[in-house]
Amino acid sequence: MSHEAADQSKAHMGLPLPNGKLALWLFLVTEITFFTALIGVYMLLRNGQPTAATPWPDPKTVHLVEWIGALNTFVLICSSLTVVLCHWCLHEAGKATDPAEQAGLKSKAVMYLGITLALGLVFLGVKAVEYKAKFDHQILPGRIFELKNEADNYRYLVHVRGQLEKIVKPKDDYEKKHYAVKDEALAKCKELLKKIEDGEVSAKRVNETIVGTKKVAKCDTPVRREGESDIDKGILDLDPDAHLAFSIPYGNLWASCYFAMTGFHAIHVLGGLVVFGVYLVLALLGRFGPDCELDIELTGLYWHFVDIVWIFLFPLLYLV
Amino acid sequence: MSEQHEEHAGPSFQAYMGVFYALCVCTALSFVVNYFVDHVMGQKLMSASIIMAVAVVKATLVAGIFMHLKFDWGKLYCIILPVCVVTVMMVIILSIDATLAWHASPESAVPMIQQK
Amino acid sequence: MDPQAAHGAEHGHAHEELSFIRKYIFSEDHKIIGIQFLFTSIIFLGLGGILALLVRIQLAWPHAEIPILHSYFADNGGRISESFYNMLFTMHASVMIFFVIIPFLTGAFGNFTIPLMIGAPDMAFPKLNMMSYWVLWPAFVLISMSFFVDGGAASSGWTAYPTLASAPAHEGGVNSPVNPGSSMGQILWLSSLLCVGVSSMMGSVNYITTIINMRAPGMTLYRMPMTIWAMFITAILQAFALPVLTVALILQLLDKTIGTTFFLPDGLVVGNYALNAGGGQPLLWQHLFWFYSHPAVYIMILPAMGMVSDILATFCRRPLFGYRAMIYSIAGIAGLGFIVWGHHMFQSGMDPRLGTGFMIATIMIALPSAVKVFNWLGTIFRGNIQFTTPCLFALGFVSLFIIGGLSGIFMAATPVDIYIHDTYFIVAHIHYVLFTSSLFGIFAGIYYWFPKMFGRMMNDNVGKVHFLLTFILGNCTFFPMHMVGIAGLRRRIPDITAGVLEGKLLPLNEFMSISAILLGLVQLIFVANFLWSLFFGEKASQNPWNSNTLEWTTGDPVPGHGNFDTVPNVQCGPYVYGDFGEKDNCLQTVKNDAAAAAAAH
Repeated sequence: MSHEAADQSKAHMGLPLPNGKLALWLFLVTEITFFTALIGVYMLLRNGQPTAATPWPDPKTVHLVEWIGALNTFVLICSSLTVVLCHWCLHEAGKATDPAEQAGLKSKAVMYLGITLALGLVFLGVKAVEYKAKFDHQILPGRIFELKNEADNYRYLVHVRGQLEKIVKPKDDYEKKHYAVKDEALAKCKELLKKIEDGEVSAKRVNETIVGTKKVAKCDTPVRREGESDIDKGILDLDPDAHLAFSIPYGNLWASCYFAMTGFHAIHVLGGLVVFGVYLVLALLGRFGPDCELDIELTGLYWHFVDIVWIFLFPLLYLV
Repeated sequence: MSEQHEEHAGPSFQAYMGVFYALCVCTALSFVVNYFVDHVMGQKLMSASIIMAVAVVKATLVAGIFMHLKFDWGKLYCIILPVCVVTVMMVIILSIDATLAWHASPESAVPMIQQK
Repeated sequence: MDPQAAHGAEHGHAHEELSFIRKYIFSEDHKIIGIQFLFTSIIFLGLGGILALLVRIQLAWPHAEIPILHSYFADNGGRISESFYNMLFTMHASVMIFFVIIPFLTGAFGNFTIPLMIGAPDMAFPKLNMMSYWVLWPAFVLISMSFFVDGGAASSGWTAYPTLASAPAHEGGVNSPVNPGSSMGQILWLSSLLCVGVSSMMGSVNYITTIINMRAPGMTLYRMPMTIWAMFITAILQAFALPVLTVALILQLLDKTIGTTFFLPDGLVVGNYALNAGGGQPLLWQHLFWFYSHPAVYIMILPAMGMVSDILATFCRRPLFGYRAMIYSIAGIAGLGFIVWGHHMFQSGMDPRLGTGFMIATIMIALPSAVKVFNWLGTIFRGNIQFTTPCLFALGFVSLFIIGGLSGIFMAATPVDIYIHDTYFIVAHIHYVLFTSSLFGIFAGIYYWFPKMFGRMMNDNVGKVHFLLTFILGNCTFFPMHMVGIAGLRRRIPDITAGVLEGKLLPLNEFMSISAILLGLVQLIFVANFLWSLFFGEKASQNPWNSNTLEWTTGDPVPGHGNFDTVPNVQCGPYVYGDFGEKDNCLQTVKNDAAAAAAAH
C-alpha cells in the first residue's frame, strides 16, 4: 500500500496538533469531569447536612495534619517542575548540533526524569504514612462510631470496654507500655470501666466522659437528664494520648470522601509513575533520546494535570 | 514531527523556574492564611475564599506555563472550555437541588396550617 | 509532506501476512473491530430479547407457569418469583442499553464507517481501538456471570437507585431476603458497567481525534457526511458524560463493599440490621446517574439519525435537505442534552423552580428534533425513491421517531409527568425511540453497509419481509403501551392483576405479549438472512447503491488494509444528487461541473 504524495496544495485537514497531544487533552478533559464530579460529591455532602451542633469533623479529630498535606503539595510542584525541565532538556538536545552538548542534555533529561519518579514515590510514601495514621485510629469508612442507633451504641460500649481494660488492667508489658495513661486520667478510666461493667451508663454518656462536654464540636448534641451536670474535662483532656475511641459526627462520611478522593488521586499518581518508570528503563537500555520528546511532553501533561488536581484537593480536604 | 508543529519557542528555563517559585509562594501563602485567618481570627468564609482563589491562581500557572496552554489555547479551547462550563454547571445545579429541595427539610414539604 | 504520515497514522507497514489471530481476532484494523462489535452486539440483542420475552410472558399470564424455566420455580408453582421478575427487567434494560445499542451504534458503525467515510487509512490509534473492543469481554463475562451468583443478578432496575441498590452487600447476609437486588449481582453489574465505560471512553477519544485530524485532503468539516457528524458529536457526548457515571458507579461499589456512606442516609435499617454509618444522600446517585444517562439516550439515537440521513439521501436520489441545519440540530440536541437530566427526577421532591428549569430545557429539545424530522421529509419529497430494505428501515425510523418524540413532549411537561411517571407511557416512549427508531436505524445500517463489510449483498426480498413484519409487530407491541400507561398501569410490577383497575388491562397486555413473541421470532428471519448472505449472498460490486460517500470509492468492494489505494482527494460534499445526464449522483472525489452549475442557480 503506497502513500502517494497526493495534491498537497490543499490546506492540511485538522488541527496543527499531533494526534497524541489532541488525544491526551481529550483524555485530560474526561479526567477533569471525573474529578469535578468527585469534588462536587464532596462539596454537596459536606454542605448538605452537618449542623452547628454536629459539624463536619475538624482535621485534628480525624488525625489529619495540614503541614503534611502542604509538604505533599510542595513535593508534587517540584516534580511538575522536574518533568517540564526534562522535556525542555530533550527539546534543547533535539536542537543541539554539537554531539557532546546533545549527550549532556540527554543525560540531564534522564536525571530530571529520575528525580520526578523519586518525588512521585515520596508523595506516595507520605500518603502511605498518612493512611497508616488513619488505620491506626480506626478512622475508616464504616468503622467510626457515630452513636446513632442502638447497635452502634452497643458496639461502642464493647469497644471502649476493651480499651479501658487494656488501660486499667494491662495483661503484658506491651499493653502496659502502649496503653499507659497519666495518673489523673487513670482514676477516671477505672471509674468509667466499673460503670460500664455494671451496665449503668449509656454510650452517649461514655462518649461524653471520654471527650468532655464543654467542647460541643466533639460531642453529639448532649441530652441532659435531670440533675446531671456537664462533664467539664473528659479523659482526653486529662491525657490527650489515651487510646480511647470517641464518636465523630459525620466521621464516616468524612472518611468516605477523604479516602475516595485521595485514593483516586493516588491511583492516578501511580499510573503516571509507571509510565515514568518505563521511560527510565528505556533510558537504561539506551533507547531514550530527543525522539521521545513528544512522549515526555504528553506524559508531562498528564503529570501536570495530576498536580492540578492535588492543588485543588489539598485546600478542599485539609484547609477549608 | 516537532518541526512541523513548532510555531513558538516555548517558555524558557527562567520562566519555568519563575513559575516554580511563584507556586511555592502560593502554597505557603494558603497554609499561612489558613492558620491565621481561619484558626486565629476565626473568619472561616474569608479564609476559604482566599485559599480557593490562591488554588485557582496556582492551577492557572501550571496549566498555562507548564502545560503550554498559553500557547495552545487557540487550538484547544473548543474542547476544554465547554467541558469546564458543563461540569461547573452540574455542580451548581446539584447545590441548588441540595439547598432548595423539599426532600432535605421535611418541615418545608407541607405548609403548616397556623392555628390561631 | 503527506498529512496522513505527519499525523502518525500508525499501522504496520508489514508486508508479511499477519497470522489468523492477528488478522481476525486481535486485529487492529478498524473494519474488523467494527465487525467484532457487530457480532457480539447481535448475540446480546438475542439475550436481551429473550429477557424481554420472559417479562412479557409474565405480564400477560401472571398466574401461569413460565415456560422452560418453571422447574427452577417449583416451590412457587412454576411461576417466577417477584425478585426474579425484578432481575428480568433490570437485566433486559442493562443488556439492551450497554451491550446492544451503544456497542452497535458507536462500536460497530462508528468504528467501521469513520475512517472510510473521511478517507483515512485507519483510526488514529489502532491499538487503543483494539483494546476498546477487548475491554468489553470482561464486561460480558461479568454481566453473564451475575445471573449465576448467590442472590442472582442485579434486580434494582437498570437505574440502580439507592438505597435498594446501594445497601452494603454483606449486611444481613448475601442471600438475605430482605435486601434483594443488593447482593453480589449488583456488584458484578457495577463492575461490568465500569468496563463498558472504559471501553466507550477509549473509543470516543479515538473517534474524535480521527475525525478532527485524519480527514483526507479536501474533506472539510462541512463536506463530511451526516453519519460522521453524528458519530463525532456522539463521541463528544460520551467522552464528557461518562466520567460522571464512572464516579457514580465507583461510589456505589464502595458503598456496597468497604462501608462508605455516600448514598446511605442516617438511620437506614436493612432487614432489622441497622447500618453503623450514614450521612449520605440517596438523591445524589440520581443526579450523578442521570447526568450521564440522559446524554446516553442521545448517544443511542444520534448515530442512527446520522446514518438515516445518509441512507435517505442515497435512496431518494436527492441531496439532504438543509445539511447545515441538520448539523446544528445535532449539536443543539447534544448541547441541550447536558442540561435536562432532571426531567427523570421530577418526582424526587426537587423544588418546582428547579423542575421548571429542566422542563423548559427539555421542551426546547423538541425544536432541533423537529427540524431534523422536517428535513428528512424534505429530503424524501419529490425524490426518486428506491424502496430497498435499508430505505424502508430508514423511512420506518423517521415515521416512528415522530411518535417516540411526541410522547417525549408529554413527559417533558412536569405536571403531566407527575401522572405518567413510572407508568407504561414511559415504557412506550423508551421503546419507540430505542426499538422502532435506534434499532431500525441499526437494521438500516446493517443492510446498507453489509456489502462493504462482507463483499456480498443481503437478500433484499427477505429483508423486505423482515421490515414489514417488524414494523407491524413492533407497533402492535409498543403502541398499546401508551394506552395502558395513561390508564395507570405501573412499571416494574410482576402481577398486574393485583390491582383492580390495572387488572382490567390484562387483555391488552396479552395482545402486546403475543405480538412481542412473534416480533422476536421474526428477528430470526433477519439472523438467518444475515448468516446465509455471509456465505452465499450475491457478490457485491464496489458501489451497489450508487452512493456518493468515500467508502464506496475504495479499490475493492471490501476495502483492504489501509482502505484506499491512493489518498482520496475530496472535491465536493456528500449529497450531490440530481439530473446529470447519464448519472444522477456524483462521488465526493469527482468534480462535477454540471452539479456546480446547478448549485449556482
